[in-house]
Amino acid sequence: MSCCDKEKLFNSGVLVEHVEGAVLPPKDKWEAKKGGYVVIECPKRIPCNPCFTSCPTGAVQPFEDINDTPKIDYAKCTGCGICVSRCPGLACFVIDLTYAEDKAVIKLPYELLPIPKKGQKVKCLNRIGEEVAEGEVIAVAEPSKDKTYVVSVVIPKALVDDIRGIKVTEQCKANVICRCEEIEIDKIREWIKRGYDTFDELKRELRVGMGPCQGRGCRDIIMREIAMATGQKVADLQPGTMRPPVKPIKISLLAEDFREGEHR
Amino acid sequence: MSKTYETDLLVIGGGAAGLCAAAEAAGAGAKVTVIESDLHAGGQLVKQTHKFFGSRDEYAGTRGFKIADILLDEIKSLGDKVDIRCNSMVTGYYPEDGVFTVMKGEEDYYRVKAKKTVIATGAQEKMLPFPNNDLPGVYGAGAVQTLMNVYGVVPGKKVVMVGAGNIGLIVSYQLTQAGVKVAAVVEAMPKIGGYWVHAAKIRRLGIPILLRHTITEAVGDKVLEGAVISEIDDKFQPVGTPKKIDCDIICMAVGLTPTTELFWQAGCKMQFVPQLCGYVPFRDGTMRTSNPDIWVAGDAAGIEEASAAMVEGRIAGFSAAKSLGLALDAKKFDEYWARLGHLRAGEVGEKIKAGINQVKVDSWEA
Amino acid sequence: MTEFPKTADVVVIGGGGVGVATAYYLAKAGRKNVVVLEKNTVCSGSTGRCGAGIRAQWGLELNCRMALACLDTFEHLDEELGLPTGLNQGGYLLVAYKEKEWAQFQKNVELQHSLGIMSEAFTDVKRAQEICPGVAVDDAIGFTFYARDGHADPFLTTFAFQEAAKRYGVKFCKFTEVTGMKVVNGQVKAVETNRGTIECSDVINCAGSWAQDVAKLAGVELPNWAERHQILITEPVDPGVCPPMLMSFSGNYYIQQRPHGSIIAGESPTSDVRLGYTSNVNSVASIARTILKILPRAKNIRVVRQWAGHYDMTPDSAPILGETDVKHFWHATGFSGHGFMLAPVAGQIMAALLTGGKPPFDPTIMDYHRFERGERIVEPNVV
Repeated sequence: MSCCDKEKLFNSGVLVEHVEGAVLPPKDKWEAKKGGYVVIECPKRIPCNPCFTSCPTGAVQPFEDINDTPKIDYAKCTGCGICVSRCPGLACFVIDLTYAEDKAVIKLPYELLPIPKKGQKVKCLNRIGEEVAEGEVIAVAEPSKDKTYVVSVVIPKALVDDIRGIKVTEQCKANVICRCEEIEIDKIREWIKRGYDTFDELKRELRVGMGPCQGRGCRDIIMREIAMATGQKVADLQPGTMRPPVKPIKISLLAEDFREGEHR
Repeated sequence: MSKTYETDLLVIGGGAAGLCAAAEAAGAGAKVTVIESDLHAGGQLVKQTHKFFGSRDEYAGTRGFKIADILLDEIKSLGDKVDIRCNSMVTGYYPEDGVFTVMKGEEDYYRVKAKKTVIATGAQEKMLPFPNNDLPGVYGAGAVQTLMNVYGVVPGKKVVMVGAGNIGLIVSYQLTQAGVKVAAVVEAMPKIGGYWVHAAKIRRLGIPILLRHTITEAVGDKVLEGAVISEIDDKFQPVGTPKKIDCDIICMAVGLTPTTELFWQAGCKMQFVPQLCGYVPFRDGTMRTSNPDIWVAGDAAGIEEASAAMVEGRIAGFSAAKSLGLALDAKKFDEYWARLGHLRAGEVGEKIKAGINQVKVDSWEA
Repeated sequence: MTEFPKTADVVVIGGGGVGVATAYYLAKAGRKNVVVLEKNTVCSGSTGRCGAGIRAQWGLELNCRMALACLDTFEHLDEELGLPTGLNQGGYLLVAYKEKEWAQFQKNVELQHSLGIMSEAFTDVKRAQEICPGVAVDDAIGFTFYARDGHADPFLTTFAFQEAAKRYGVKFCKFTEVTGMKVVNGQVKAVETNRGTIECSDVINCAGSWAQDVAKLAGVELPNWAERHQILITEPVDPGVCPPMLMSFSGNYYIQQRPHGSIIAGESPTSDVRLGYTSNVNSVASIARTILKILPRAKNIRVVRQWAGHYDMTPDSAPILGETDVKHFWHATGFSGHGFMLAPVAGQIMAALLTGGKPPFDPTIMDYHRFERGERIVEPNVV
């Protein structure tokens, strides 16, 4: 590629070489670092600093000017991926080279639909969106509030400097149990396994049964799942609370029923 | 404006059991209020286009929706004793205040103070967990019946029915009557759960009933395009090669479970009874629950046939009226129990009786 | 169910926010073999029933400082615990309807500013409506607002603490009710439960509204009592119906919207009867009426559930922290409606006390003998 082409590419938003603000970690340390290191590709000065402010360990070094490009203190980076979920430019990645002989794991930010699931095969994209490999999703970190999904994908080690995106081609089949809150059976099983083996505990964690139907549609299935997982009889389980109202009621309608002087 | 409505007997649910309870109590002279969540009274009866089993006392040979008319006529003949309030839902019971709350449509909300209450809230359908079970085209059997038999809407062209209990068998037959092709009925158990004659009726129409089979997946992008079914072993684990059946409806008829929220809120003693298909309240020989002012009848007391629900409704209505101090002929009460005894004499009845024995008390005072 | 432990280093009684956070910080600070006993399931008591507010706007320096420390903690808790806590910092908009209340608010803000809590006091209703569009507070006299205040999800937060505590080796025993306490020579030696006895070095009473009953088992009298409070939640609607936590002491309400979209609102009781967890028909109407008045545009939003919870009250509405006359028997109770918000700092204090570390706050003043001495921690900014 001529330097002219490179420049054109770079000017269109494609990183063509590692420059300040877009560097790879030192190779020797990187290869031995369990959990990986952050790779930030933010070579242009812009007024933005969440990578620095969100970093819990101080690995992204303090900005003197909010326009600074990020600098990493690799001694402090744990590969936690918090900056991956926070960076507004989706420019942070974590790459772990210790996964296997010829495989690495990349944690990348993801904001499209459908959301991939653990175990799913996805297409891996390079910096210009070409499909260059197939990868396997090994974890999907749920975003809290309005943050971004962080997807961990196993990729060929040879392509760690190429792969920066994924394409989810197949919509995972949903096995929805709680329809009000759209909670799938995998989630329910996962939390039962963690020891949350009463209906009320699952309700608190996952909101199953907290929707308008209050568990009419899902309680039965969830109780059976708990019974199967714990080897108990449904009859010996606690069904959880049944709170009023049985059917949702408009605030304005309820307000009319207020009676002054009656205790509450 | 806040309102409290007072009544002698509150009957919650205007289905087979509730209407019978209301008719019985009003016949004895009680002022009865029936709260029915649907737009019309009759409950599941109004969806039943087939002829009922049982004896003449339970209107055997009459089609279900006509039985609803008979019961409503009986109530009409009692004059203004019974006030049926449709499109109204009991939204809660507040033990601290001793009141039920009722919402009519979404426009009216009031409290009800009743001297006695019969809860006949019926049942709700169970579902199965399988991938894509939320695709448009996956229905409960009750919804399919409502579409076809209440509103005259054909739900689709080709259906896979899941479950060969009476509901699955009857709805398969009704779907065929409506011109819908039933591709197969799949049943996880090694034999059908419903009456044999219901099964024979659809087998001779060429509908396959696949025993020891279950649905493993619904297929489709935006709407349902097919069902994947699989044979299962005696631990309900899939064996062999799954098979895809093209269809635009999957109809789930995998059982009902009693609707019991109000019993829980009223502090009634409850127990999970597999034979009765879910949690049910304990009851004495008059169908009274552990809450001395609340009786239970029908599917809310355990899943059973409509015929039994009607007799239980009579018993509960009779007993509640009696506790209001009204004069009643005790012979009638014994006769109702005798009828229930007959209805529960068969193979299915054994299971029901075993279930009831787990939640029956001789008397609450003891 | 997991095997029941026969011995423990520290037994924490109560699996609410305070108990679980205390167990987490204890284990993190190095105490091995911490066991949490919960008579029902984690979060089944007051924490799981609370209004979930977190605020630094208080009227006492101690409370301001503790709450500020909690805010600091909450802001990084997701990362620390590895699971979401559902923190939503939409600020608290406190509404004063009475002159005396407004005068107090202004004093509070002065104090808050001196402690770095840059709250805002104003009388312009338009400013209130900038913070909460559509809020109907024409009859209010004044407002204070602090943008860092907000609310978190009590379930998610407590479970996040629990999962993190488990990673440190903390054991959780649910459906385990404490039935007795073995005290020898004025020192606690073991906890008796419906599932067996646990020999232990230290016991911490985090039993919330049952703290008084638990303390009695060791012969310790606490002045606490439980007070029933009621609350409701609506169906989820688009965010933005109620961006801040709206709260008024004289107006007797709080209203907030979860990130999930549901609106939660509650009020204080008009009767002080302890009535368990039953909820009542007039309360749901009353809270609905308040929402309708304060947020008229919420009128068609539907209420899906109501419930009741307990405030674990003390005579001065301030917590009781520290060791009792029975050696190695500790208290972290009496949070008087603020247990969830103060759980992280309570946990940090208890962990410091039990590991010989330096507590973030001197808890001496929160000793339970203060009532006998006639001392009170008087907080003006509570219901």
